[in-house]
Amino acid sequence: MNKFKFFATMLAMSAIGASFVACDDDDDNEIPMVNHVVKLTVPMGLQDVTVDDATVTMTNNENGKEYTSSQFVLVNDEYVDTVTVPQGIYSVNVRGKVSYMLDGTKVSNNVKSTQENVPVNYSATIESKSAMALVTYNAKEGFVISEIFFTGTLTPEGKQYSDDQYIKIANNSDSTLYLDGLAIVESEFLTTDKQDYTPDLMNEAMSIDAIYLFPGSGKDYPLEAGKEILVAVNAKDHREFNANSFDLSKADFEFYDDAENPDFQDEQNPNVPDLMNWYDYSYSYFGFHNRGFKAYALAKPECDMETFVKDYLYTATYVFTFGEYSFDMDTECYKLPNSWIVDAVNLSVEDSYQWNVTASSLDAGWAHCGSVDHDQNRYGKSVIRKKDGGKWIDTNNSTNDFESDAQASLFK
Amino acid sequence: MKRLLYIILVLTLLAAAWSCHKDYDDFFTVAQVQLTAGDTCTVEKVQGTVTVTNLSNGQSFSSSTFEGNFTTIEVMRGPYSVAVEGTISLRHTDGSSTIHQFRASENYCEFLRHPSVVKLSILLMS
Amino acid sequence: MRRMMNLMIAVVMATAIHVAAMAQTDTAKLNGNDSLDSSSREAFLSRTMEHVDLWKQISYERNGNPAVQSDRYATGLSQIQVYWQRTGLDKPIALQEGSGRTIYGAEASTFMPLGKRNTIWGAASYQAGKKNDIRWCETSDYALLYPYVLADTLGGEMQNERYAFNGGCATRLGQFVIGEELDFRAEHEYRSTDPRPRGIVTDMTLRLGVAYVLPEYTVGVAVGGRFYKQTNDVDFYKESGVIAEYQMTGLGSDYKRFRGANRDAYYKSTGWIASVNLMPKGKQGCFVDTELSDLPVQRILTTLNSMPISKLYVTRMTSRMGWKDESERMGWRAFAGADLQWRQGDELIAGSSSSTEYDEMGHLTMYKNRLTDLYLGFAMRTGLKNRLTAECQLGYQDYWSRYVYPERKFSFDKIYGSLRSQLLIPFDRWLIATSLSASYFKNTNDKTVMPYGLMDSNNRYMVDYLTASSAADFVTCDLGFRADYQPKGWGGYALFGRLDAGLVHSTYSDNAATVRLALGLTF
Repeated sequence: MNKFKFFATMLAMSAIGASFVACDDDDDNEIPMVNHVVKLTVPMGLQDVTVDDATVTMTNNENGKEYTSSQFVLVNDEYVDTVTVPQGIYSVNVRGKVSYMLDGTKVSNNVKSTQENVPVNYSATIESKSAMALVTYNAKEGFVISEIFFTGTLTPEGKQYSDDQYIKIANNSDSTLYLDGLAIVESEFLTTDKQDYTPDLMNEAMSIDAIYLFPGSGKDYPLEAGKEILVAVNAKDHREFNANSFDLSKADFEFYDDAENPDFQDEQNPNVPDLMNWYDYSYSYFGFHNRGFKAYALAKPECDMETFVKDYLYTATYVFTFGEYSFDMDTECYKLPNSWIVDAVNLSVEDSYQWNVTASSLDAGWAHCGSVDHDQNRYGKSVIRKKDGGKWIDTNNSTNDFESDAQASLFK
Repeated sequence: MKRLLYIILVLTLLAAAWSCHKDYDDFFTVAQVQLTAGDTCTVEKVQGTVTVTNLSNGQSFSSSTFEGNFTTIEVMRGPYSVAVEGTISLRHTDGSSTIHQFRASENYCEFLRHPSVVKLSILLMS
Repeated sequence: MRRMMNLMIAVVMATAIHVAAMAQTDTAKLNGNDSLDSSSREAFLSRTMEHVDLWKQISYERNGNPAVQSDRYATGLSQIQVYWQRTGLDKPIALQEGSGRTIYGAEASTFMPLGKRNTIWGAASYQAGKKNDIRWCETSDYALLYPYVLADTLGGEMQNERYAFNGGCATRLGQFVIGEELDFRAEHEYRSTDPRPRGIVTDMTLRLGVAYVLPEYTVGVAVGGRFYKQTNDVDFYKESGVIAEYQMTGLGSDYKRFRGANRDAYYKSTGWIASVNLMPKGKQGCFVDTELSDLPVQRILTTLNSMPISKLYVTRMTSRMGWKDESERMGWRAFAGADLQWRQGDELIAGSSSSTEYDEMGHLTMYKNRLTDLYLGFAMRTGLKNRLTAECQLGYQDYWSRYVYPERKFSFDKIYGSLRSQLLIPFDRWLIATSLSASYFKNTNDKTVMPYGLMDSNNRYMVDYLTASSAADFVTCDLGFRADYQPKGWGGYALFGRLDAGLVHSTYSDNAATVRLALGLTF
C-alpha cells in the first residue's frame, strides 16, 4: 500500500467515525403545547356536594414552571378544568373547598390532592387528562397531639441535652374535655427498622413499649375547647443546666418514673402532677426517642391497669438475618387496640424511613425533625400540628397535618 | 502490510464487540392495585387515589381512575410502598350497599413483572 | 508474583551495576583521563537527549505493549528527582476535583538495555500533598469512578499520600520479543475535620506482550489485567451529629434509598486490557496503535451486608494510525486517531429489608455516558545537533450522558486545536530543553435536560456548575525549561533542574495556574 492510498484510507475512516458521533440522538424539535384536562371527583355518599375555589397548579418537573387555572365547571358529576401546558412530566396539585350537607347542616372542608410524575403528552387523537379524587376525611374531634419536642437542645459547648423534651396535647373539639384516664403511649417498633413481625397485629392494635396515663377520677383535669397543655419529661428550669434550653418548671404535667436503678433516679417536681406509669421499657426513666424514630399516640384505655398489664402483653417474633446467618428474635411488648386510640403520630427521618408502625387508618404519613439519622441540624426543633381557622388540622395523616422541622414553640 | 492492517482492524472490532455489556433496559411495567374488602362484601365502586412510591428513588405515581376495584399505573420497575385513600361503595351479601371512607396501605411490594399485581385489604375509617 | 519480585530485584541490581560502572569511570577520571571525560560528556549528551526528546515520546506514548519498549531507547538512563508542584484555581474546574493542590515527592526511574537481548525498566515514587476545597466527592479517584461516588454538600481539604512503582522487562528470542510490565499504585486520602472521609486505594496493572519482527514491520500484541480496590468511609466525630451522605448515581442524581447513614463502602474491580501495534522497522512506513480496556467496578456498601448497589463499566478504546518518514536530519508523522470512552452504570433493584439484609431483585442500566475524540495530527522534527520537534493536532470531541429516570441528559460538542513543541540545545556540558504547548477548545453545541422542579438548591447548584464548566471554552498554555549539566570529573553523573508553568483559562471557571519545580540527578 503506498503512502497516498494509506492517507486516503485514513481520511475516509476519520470521516466515517466523525459522521457517527455527529449524529445527535436528541430530539431538538419544538415542544408542543397540550390542553391537559383535570377532572375532580367528589367523595361518594355526600349530599348536595359543591366544590368551590378550586385551583389546579401544574409544576413542570424539568424547569419548575407553574401553570395555574381556577376555571373548574361541573360536567356530569365531575368538576373539569383545562390547563394549556408544554408537553412534559408534571406535578399536579389541586386545592379547594368541598361543601356538603350533613344532617341538615352545611359543612365545609378544605381539600387538597396531589399527583406527581403525571405525563402530559401531545396526541392528535387521545385527550391528555388526569382524574383526581378529593378526600374530605377529618378525624373525629377530640384530643390531639399538637406538638412533640423530642430532639432536645445543644449546650453552648455543642453537647446533646435531652432532658428538656415535652409533648403538648390539645382539645380540638368545641366543648370541654377531661384528661382523666387519657394515655400517652410510645410505639415498640421503630419506623426505621422494618421487620416481618409475627403475629402481625398492626391493623387491629398498636404495639407499644410505654404507656402513661393522666391521673384523676373522671373530671379532675378539664381542658377547655381550643386549649392545650404541656407535659414535660422533666419539669424543671433547664436553663440552669443548659443556657440554650428553656424553663419547664411550670409544665402542666410531667413524666415520672420510680426507677429501679439507684444510679439513674428520675427527678420530680412536687408542684407538677405526675402521669401514672402503667408500663415503660426503661429501668431508669422515660424519654422520647431523640432522633424521632417512634410513633406516639393518645388513647382511652377501656380497662384498668392490672388488666392491661396482664392481658395485653404479647411476644412479637421476627427473623434477624446477617449474611448467611439467621436468628429467631423476639420482643415482649403490649398491644393497644386501635379502637382505643384517639390520635397517633409517626415520626421518622427521610434517609432511614422504612415503614409506619401504626395502621394507616390512624396515621397515613409521618413527620420529622432532620433529614438524616443523627442530623446535626435537628436540635431545638419540633413537629407542630398545623391550624386552620382556629382548629388543629387532623386528617390522620401526619405528613399533611404537621409542620416538620419547626422551631419548638417554647422558643417563640 | 495491507493484510496486517486488515487483521488489526478485525481484531479491534472483535475486541470492541466483546467489551459491550448487557443492557438492563427493561425499565417500566404496569402495576395493578386491587382493593379487597374481606369475605362478607365486594367492592362496587371506588372514588379515591392510589399513590405508589418507588423506594429506590422516592418518586411517586398516582391514579384515581378505577375500574371496579382496581386501577393500573405505569411505573418504573422496582420496590414500592402503596397508599390508597378515598370513599368506597361495598355490596354486602344481603344485597345492601354502604359507602365508607377508607384507607389501604402496603409498606413493601415489588413491581417487577409484566404486569405486577398487588392486593390490598381496605381499612374502613367510617 | 514471583516473576515480578525477580523483576524488581533485577531493576535494583541493574541500577547497582550501572552505578558501579559509573563509579569505575569516575575513578579513571580522577586519574586525569581527559579522553575518558570527553567520551563521558558525549555519552551524557547523547543518552540524555534521547530520553528527553519529545519525538521519542510522540512515537511511543500510545504504545503500551512492553514487548516493543526495548526499541524505545538505544541507550540507558537512570534518574532520581525531587519535585514540588502547586496548582491554584480561581474557581474549580470540577467541584469534585477541588480548587487547587500542592504536592511534593521523590521519584527514581531507570531504563536499561542489557546487551542485545534484554531490556529492563522501572520506577518508584512517593508523593504527598493536599487538595483544596473538594466538594460533592468523598471518594478518591473521582476521574475513574464517577459518577458512583459518595458525596455531601460540605466537603473540604483532602490530604493525600501515594506510593507507586513500575517495572518491566523485554527479552528477544529470535524473531519474537516477550515483554512484561507491572504498575502498582497505593494511595491514601483523608481529612481531619468533619466530615472525615478516608480512601485507601490499591491499583495494580499487569501487562504481557509479544512482538514479532518481520522484515519491514514489527507487529505486537499485548494483554493485561487491572486489579483495583478502594475502601472508602466517612466518619463524624462531633457529638452534635452528621449531615447526609449521598450515593451519587449520575448527573446529580443519587440512590435515595441508601442516602444518609450508609457511609462505608468499598470498590473492587478486575479489568482487562488488550492492544495491537504495528511499527515500521525502517525509516518509512505506516504505524498503528490500538488499545482497548474494560474495567467493571462494583460499589459495595459494607454496612448493608456487603450489598453491591451499583456496577460501573468503564470501557476505553484508543486508536491511532499514521505514516512516518524519517531521515537523520528530519522526520515527520501524519496520523489520525480516535479516543473513545464509554461508561455504563447498572443499579441494583434492592428488595425488602430485613434488618440490614436486602434481597437483590435485579438491575437497571440507569446511567450511560460516551466521550468521543477524533483528531488528525502532524508531527515533525528537524536538526542534527539542535533539535526542534513540533506536533499539532485538530480534533472534535463529542460528549453525551444520560440518567434514565427522573430523566437527566447532558451533551456537548467541541472542536479543538493543540500544539506542542520542544527545542533541544546541547552545548559543552549542558543540555537545554525548552518546551511550549498550547491548546484551544471551543464549544459548538451543548444541551442540558434536568428535572429542576424536583431538585433542591444544593443539587441544582452542583449540576449547573458541572454542565457549565464542562461545556465551557478553554485555552491552555504551558512552558517548560529543563537544564541538564554534567560537571567535570563526574563521570556518568549529571544534575538537572526543571521548571514548568502552565495556565488554563476557561470561560466559566476563569484561570488556573500550575508551577512545578524538579531537581535531580541522572546517571
